[in-house]
This record gives sequence, C-alpha cells and structure tokens, in this order.
Amino acid sequence: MEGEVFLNILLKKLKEVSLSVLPITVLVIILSFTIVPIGTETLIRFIIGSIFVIVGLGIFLFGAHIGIGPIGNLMGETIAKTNKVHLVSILGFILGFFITIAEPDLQILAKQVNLASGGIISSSLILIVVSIGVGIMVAIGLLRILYGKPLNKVFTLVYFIILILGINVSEEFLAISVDASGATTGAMTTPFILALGYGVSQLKGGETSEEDSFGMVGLASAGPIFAIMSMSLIKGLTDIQGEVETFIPNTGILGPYLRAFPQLLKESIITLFPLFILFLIFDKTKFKLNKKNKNAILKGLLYTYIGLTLFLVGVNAGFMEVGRAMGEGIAISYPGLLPVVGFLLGMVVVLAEPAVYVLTEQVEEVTAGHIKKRVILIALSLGIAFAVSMSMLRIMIPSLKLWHFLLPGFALAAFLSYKVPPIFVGIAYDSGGVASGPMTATFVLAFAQGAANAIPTANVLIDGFGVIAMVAMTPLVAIQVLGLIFKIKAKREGN
Amino acid sequence: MNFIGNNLILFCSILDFGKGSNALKLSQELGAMGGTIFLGKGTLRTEWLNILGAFDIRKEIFITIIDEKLEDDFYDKMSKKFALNKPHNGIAFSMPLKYCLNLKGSKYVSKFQEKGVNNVDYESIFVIVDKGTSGDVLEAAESAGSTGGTVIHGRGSGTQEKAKLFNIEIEPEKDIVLILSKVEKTESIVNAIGERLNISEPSNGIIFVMDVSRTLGLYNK
Repeated sequence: MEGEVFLNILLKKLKEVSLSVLPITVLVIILSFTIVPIGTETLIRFIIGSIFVIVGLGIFLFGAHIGIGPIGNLMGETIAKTNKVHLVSILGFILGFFITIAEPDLQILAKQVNLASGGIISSSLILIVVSIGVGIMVAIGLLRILYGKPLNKVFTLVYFIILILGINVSEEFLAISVDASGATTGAMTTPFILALGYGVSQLKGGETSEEDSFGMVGLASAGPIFAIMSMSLIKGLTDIQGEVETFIPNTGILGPYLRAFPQLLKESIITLFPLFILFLIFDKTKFKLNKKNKNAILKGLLYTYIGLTLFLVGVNAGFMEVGRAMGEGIAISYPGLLPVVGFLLGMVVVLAEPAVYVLTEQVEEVTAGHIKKRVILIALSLGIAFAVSMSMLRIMIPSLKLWHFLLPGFALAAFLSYKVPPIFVGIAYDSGGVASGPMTATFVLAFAQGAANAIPTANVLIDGFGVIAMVAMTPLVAIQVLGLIFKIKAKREGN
Repeated sequence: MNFIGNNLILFCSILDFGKGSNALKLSQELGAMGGTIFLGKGTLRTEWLNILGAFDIRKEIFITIIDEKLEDDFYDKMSKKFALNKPHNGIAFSMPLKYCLNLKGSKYVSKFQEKGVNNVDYESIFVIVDKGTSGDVLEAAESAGSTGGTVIHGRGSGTQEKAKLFNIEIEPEKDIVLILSKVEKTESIVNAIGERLNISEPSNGIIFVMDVSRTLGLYNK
C-alpha cells in the first residue's frame, strides 16, 4: 500500500516533467525525419539526452523544492528581520556575489570575453566584476522590497542607465553583456533568488507582499549588463578580436556522455558549493534548524546536485549538437524556413527550462491560483518563439541590427510597466532572466550559431550572442501584455 | 437567488492541486452560485518518502454554498468526477450553515432559539470578498465589537464573473475572512460588514454564519 502511494506520486511527477520536455523532443524528431536529417547517431544521442533531461529535471525540481527553496526563504526572512539598511545591503551583496561567481556558465563566458578582448581582460577580473554587479543588484532588490519602492520605476531607471551605457559600447559588447546576464541566472541561482525575494516579502507582509515576491531575478540579471558595459568603457574596448571556439563534432553514441559526465559532476558541485557553505554558516548562527529539517534541506541540495548534473549532461551531450546541426542544415537546404522553424523551436524549448517551472509554481502559490501556470507558459512560449524567429531574420538580413529589436522592445517593456498590474511587472522581468536558462541558452544558441555559420553574410560571434539578448527581452513584453489582457478582462467583468 | 428560505450547507472538498477549478466548474453546472478555492499543503508519510526527505503535496481546498437539496447530487457527481471513493484522490465533507447573506435575505436577524441547546456562546462568521477589501471587513467588524479575524488568500468566482484567456478561466483573487464572534454580537457584526461592503449588490461578496460547538483561546477585552 505504502509503496503504491509512493509509486503513484513518483509517476505523477514524472508525467508532469515529461510533458514539459516531450514537446521539444517530438518536434526535433519530426524535423529530423522531414526537412533536416541529422544522422542516426546524433538522433539516438538526442533521444538518450531527452531521457537524461527528463529524469534530471524531475530530481532537480524535487531538490529545489525541499532544498534551495527553503534555504532562500529562510535567508530572506533572516535578512529582513535584521531590519537594518547596512546589514540588508551587505548580506544581499554577499549572497549575490558568491552564488554568481561559482556559476559555470559565467566561467565559460569569462573565457570567451578574455579571448574576445585579445587578452586585455583576464577571466578572473570578469568573474569578479560580474559577481559584484549581481551582488549590488541583489542588495538593491532586497532594499526595494523593504522600502516599498515601485518595481516599474526601479526597472525604468536601471534600463535607462543601461541604455546610456549601451549607446557608448560597441555592438559586440552589447551582445556579450546581455549574454552574461543570461549566464548568471542559471538553473540553481534563479530558484534561490526567487525564494530569497519571496522570503523577504512574506516577512514584510502588507498589501504589496504579493507583487513584492517577484522582480529579484530581473534585477539580478541586470547586474552583469552593467558590469560588463562599464568595464568595456573603462578599459576602452571597442573591437572584438577573438572568434568562437572551433566546433568539434561529436562521434559515437555513448562517448559524448562519458566525456560530459565527469566534467559536469565537477561543475555542478562548484555551482552548489557556495550555497552549501552559506547555508551551514547561516544555520550555525541564525536558523538553528533541528536535525530533521536540516537533513531535509541537505538532502534537497544533494538531489539538486544529482538532478542538475543529469540535466546538464543531457543538454550538453544530447541537445547542443542537434541544435547546431538543425540550424546549419536548414540554413543550407531551406533558408527561408529558418524563421518558421526558429519559431517552433522557441515555443517548445522554454517549457523544458528548469527555472521556468519554479517561477510558474511560485506565481500560482503567491496568487492562490489566480494566475495559472498554463497562462504564463503560453505567453512565455509565444515570446521566446518570436525572439528566436526574429533572430533568424536578423542572421539572414545583415542590415537588421540587434538594437533594432532591443531598443523598441525594452522601451515597450518600460512603457507597459506603468500600465499593467504591478505583479505582472515583477513576473515579466523575472521571466526574462528565467527564460535564458541552461536549456534555452544552450539549444537556441547552438541553433543560431549553426545557422550563422552556414550563412555567409552572418557573423557567428555577434549573431550568436544576440539571440540570448532577444530571449531575455521578449518575455518582458509578452508577460506584460498578458497582464494588460488580465486587467482589461477584469475591468469588463466588473461592469 | 434561487433558493430563498431553504436550508443551506457549506460543501468542502480537498483535492490535488489543479483540480479546484474543475470542481468549481462542476459545482456551477450542478446549480451552485459560485465557489472559492484556496491553497494548502498535504503531507503524505510513507517510509519511502521519509527516507527521501519531507514530501508535501500541493492541495486545493474548494468550498461552495449550496441548497441542502443539492447535497446528495453533489456528493454523487463529485465522487464520480474525482474518484473520491478511492483512497488518496481527495476528500469531501459538508456542514450546515446557520445563515447566509446575499444568497438569502439582506439583513441578518439573529435567531436565539438555539441558545440553551448548547452552551457555547460563539458563532463563526465567514466573509468572502474581493482581494484587497479584507481590511474594510476587519474594520467594520471591529467597529461592531469583533475582537479580531483571520484572512485566507484564495480565488473564486460567482455567476457574474466569467473571463477567459486562452480558453482558461480567470478566477479573481479573493480574501476569506474568518471571525469568531459572540452570539449576541453576530447580528451587528454581520450587518456592519454587509453595509460597509454594500453586500446586497451582486458580486460584492458573501457572508455566512456557522455554529461553533467549542472554542479555545478566545478572550474578551
């Protein structure tokens, strides 16, 4: 009987997770049998990858639920309880700094920028600068909640400063800085920052506690943009001299997995390490949890580690190359279809993003089910679909520049933030950070680079980076438009 | 208001997360005016789950007010739809209401006949209003002699409210306010809240009163 109940719950969870990964799997299989044959070996590897992603995502979410979430909530509450500006700022900064500096994606990016700057900027400098950027923004985010400053004004100010900086940096660094923001809001940091903001707003309570629960991720992901742009201006960098790492196709079915495993086991542990240490320190000094609760959280961290590793192995060994092969294949045989296929891929890929899951569940919880997960997912899917589709157009048409999309997009987002219910502003900006997570970033980036590689007029480096910027921008508009519709519907119903 | 003068009951069901909206839809098909849903967590304890770590399952609690005559039909249909006759699919229960404002008359007049039958001198007042107005409710209640109240965050809809997005119904957010009041004060508290919220107008919320058989922890000022 007991075993049956347990199995039942497990199957339910597995079904839920499968439903978010299967769309991308099915779409890729259909495409590979119709317009872009990707080779049997790659296809089998992709299917194995999907299984890894499903199992990994399931375990990760369970771990996030009992480990990262509670840690974030507890830390948020503890920080808010200090009720002192300097303590809140310092603790917020420390948390933001340490969870960012360990992010593996950021380390890869740092290496790329190091190459791109011709070695002028060392990787470690980039790591530190970006982490400082996130630390400052997390501190600002916490203070904002405690002092009840409206989110739309804070975001308008933040993006206005970014605009001023952005005008002065080269297009290459514009793309890199936005990409850095995608890299820092990874699978592990996002649930943590979400939970942190939730903890603070719950403790503060009051009329605005619902809308205060969101926006932290959005603010945190603006940090790296600031940081990299400022750095490129101070160092006077304009040109990018490096190039994208040469792409070495994988061979064999199991080989890539065997290579990815040890590396990602190591990377994931580095990602989780700061949080683990911070938890132990906070627990010793502040939380003083009983043994049972502490064990549950530690178990949660262990599951997060296992889940994250499996997930990333699946994505890196199974998905990345397929993304690239599809982009290249379509660009060669049916270039006209790139925007269409991009649209479809964008629509389904975001569903398999771990942090999207965490965000939408928090939305449901905070609004008591008023804003349903499915509604957010539909808006987000359409937003990402549009982002990928437009990026394909940009790769095909050299005269279309990245800022032709980003500037009106961010301007529209800022405008909408004064028109929609405040909770949607927070959810929208958080979604921007969440959507550019490990799945989308890897798969869509590979797809774009593949396409750019096959199209002679495109620049692999610039066009590749720009995709992430688009993916981070469109949710701001999509979710706020959703908020506008909610508002209009609610009004009509009132009459 | 279809069932003036009848006995009303509060029908409650605790279901897995995501099924609350279905229950609301079904109950409206069965003749309920509306319903309210709020979130909860249920913990399942099995040996396996204990080894893995605490495991709580998100639940939705659905409540609606219906005529006593509908009760059998409700149990029948709900049980069929959510397979409540099998374990772990959810539970349902119902309680008699003493009075409901806005489904029945517009002014509450206390009936003291039940006093003496049991010795408890408290009643529970439930107020379900749009989110954000719970402050008004508590204020009005306090002005009429209430000593406090508890707000639960939920969502729900009545027949007036039907907005859809991507074919998914949008259920407005609600606050459920629970107040325990002395029997002799109930009348004035209910009427004070009713007046403040203009509750006789449609879509402004509902108030209902239930008997309480025992209390603990309540003190008079």
